[in-house]
Amino acid sequence: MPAPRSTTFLALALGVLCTLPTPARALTNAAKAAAPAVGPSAGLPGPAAADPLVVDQAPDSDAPASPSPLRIGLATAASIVPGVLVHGSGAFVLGDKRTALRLLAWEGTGLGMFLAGGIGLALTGASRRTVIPLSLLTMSGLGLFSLTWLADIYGALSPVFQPGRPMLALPDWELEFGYLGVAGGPFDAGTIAAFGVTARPGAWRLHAAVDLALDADNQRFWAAATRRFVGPNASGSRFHDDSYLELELRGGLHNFGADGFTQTTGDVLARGRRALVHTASPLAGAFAEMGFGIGLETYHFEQGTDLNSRLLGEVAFGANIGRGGPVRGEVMTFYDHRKDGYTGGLPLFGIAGHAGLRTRLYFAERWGLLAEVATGRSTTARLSLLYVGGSS
Amino acid sequence: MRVLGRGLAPLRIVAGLTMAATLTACLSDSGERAERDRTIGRGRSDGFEVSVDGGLAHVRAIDTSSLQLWSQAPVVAFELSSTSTTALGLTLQNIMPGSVLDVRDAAGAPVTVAPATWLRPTAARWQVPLATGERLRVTVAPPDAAAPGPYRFAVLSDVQEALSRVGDIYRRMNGDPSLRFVFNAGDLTDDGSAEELLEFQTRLEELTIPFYGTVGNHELITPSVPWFGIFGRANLHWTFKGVHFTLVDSGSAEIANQVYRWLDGWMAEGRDAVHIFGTHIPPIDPVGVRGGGFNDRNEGAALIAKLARAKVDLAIYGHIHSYYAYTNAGVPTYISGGGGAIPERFDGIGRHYLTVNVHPMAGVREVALVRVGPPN
Repeated sequence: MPAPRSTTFLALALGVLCTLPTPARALTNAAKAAAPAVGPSAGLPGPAAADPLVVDQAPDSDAPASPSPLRIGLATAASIVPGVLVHGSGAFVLGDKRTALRLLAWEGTGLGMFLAGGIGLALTGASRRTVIPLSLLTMSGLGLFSLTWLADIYGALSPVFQPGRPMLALPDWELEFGYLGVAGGPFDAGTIAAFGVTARPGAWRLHAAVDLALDADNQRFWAAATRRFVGPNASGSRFHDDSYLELELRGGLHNFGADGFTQTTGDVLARGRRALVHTASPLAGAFAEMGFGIGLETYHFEQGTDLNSRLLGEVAFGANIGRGGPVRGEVMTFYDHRKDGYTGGLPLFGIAGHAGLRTRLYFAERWGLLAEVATGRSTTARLSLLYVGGSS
Repeated sequence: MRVLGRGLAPLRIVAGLTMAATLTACLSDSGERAERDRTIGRGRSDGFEVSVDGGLAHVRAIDTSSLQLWSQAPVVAFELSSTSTTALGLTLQNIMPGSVLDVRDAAGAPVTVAPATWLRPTAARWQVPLATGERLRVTVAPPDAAAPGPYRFAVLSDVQEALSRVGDIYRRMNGDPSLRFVFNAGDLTDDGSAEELLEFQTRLEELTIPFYGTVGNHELITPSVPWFGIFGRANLHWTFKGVHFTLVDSGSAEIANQVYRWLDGWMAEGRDAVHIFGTHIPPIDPVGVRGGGFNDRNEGAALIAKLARAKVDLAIYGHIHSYYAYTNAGVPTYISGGGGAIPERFDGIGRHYLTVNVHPMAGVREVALVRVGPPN
């Protein structure tokens, strides 16, 4: 009789061993970033505060100071082909072998995790008894694989622009007013008005939002309480970059009145961001995020209520926008493992969530924009005006 | 199953699944497949035209003097319009044993036809006389089709790579003469190629009862989806002895808008009767963290709400290679993917099929698990 359990545990152990350096290093760097700022910006005499775009160690890349436009073009092309398979190709063409090898190593780690998890899922027939760890391994491996590729493209292009600076002090509160459009998919939600409010007392972020369909019986409410253990919040700019670790509790209700059911959800999610300047200086201004969690959902029908569970996963790669002026924010491409909301999941036989592009941009002291396009079973586009208060 | 290069098999599985998922997602659209359904059941030759009610039989072959149909329901009715005088050789495959041919002219008067030549329990041939300009109404059905009464049928899905050994399941079914047909919720084959579908058809000849099914995601792996040219529709609705059956194509983990429009009509037709619904992919995976249901969980919930409102008596799904019994919005629901594909491990189930005991007045009386292999 085969020993599937031992094979599964071995694959899981390998995956855990592969991932151990990442949270350990992220925690170390986040701890360094959490050290209080000193210097004129803190009102105290002493050395100038550390620049979040400068790695606080010896030069960590071999990148030439000013590559030619041709070299940048070749590096960008290489980051796509063969870069899609050999991550770090862009950095290599730029002459930055150290970053190239680092990205390649992380790609290998991610690929190994993906294969270990995927093979485990295939061999176990996606058994209900092992699906959680194997799915998490597969998802995190694919996430890491994607992040290293995107990082290579970013790094290949980085010589042509000044990297953005992270927002190290966040607004105390934000109001959000906007519009959500839905195209395709099985639901006709029509025009949707979106409202939200966010408050950041101390290390907490409290958020509540509602999406109201104006010409259909469809309403969505959700709220989240997030505790940021490490990283910028509204308390001031004592962090040197936007790396963070946080835990989110959220709940929601989505009423599909026209379709005869209501969904309620309750989730807990751990999320972390790593400022990629800590990986290699050419990646300054970029960041990578991952988050995993678990939740419960109920579907209420006239005829009864069904309870189920859900696995949560998020991966994002983004870049900061702005360099200390009035325009500041971030843009990111993301994957979210949820298959509900207005977007649903990607057309991949039910195994995937949705993906998209999101930007949060503040263009004046008090005003900003939130824009997001996501694709899954439907394509959704959200555009909201932000009104903020407090430090930012 | 003999596995060549066992060390590489897992990689082959993952690579194959990944590639198949990507290719199929790109190349087979549920809406396009629904449009192909519309073309099923119609054919024309120099001598005559055929139009099958509800597209419930697929025109396999047609020429000036012969017509071959693959039946997708216990009762098949069609119209023949002739443009020449001929003796039409009519072959029907996948019909219920003992089915009777009833031929009526335009006035409704019976037309005499010689007794059938039975090729095997589920296939027969008749000679139907056609005169120029004649319109005939033909019905093929077992003698008790219209008489309400209890009966049993089997449920078998997800055969896939176990196609070569599905015969042991068929022999088991053949040993139960009370079974009238097999109801399938998809994934007959591993890659949906014409080769595999025809092999499936050949192996069906070992079964003494017909096999009525729909596509699963594996039938979509071959981009041209040969299913339509071999077996017919992917979305269909029929009745037998007062019980309604609906099969719907969810092979892409979603249902096309056109199919929802058909489904609304079928749900209305079956609302006051015993109604059994089948599709390949469960709208919502009962193991939520696995997420092996529709692409959009809310679409799955909307389908469940639709079934519950229509008072569907039983929902049958495949795709998950195990056995689950539960309810969705109060609708008794079964997942049976035990035809032999890579099984869900540690579930204690193994290869299996289901038997369903149904009564048109009393509803679904019993759903039983029949084990064919050892548990996982």
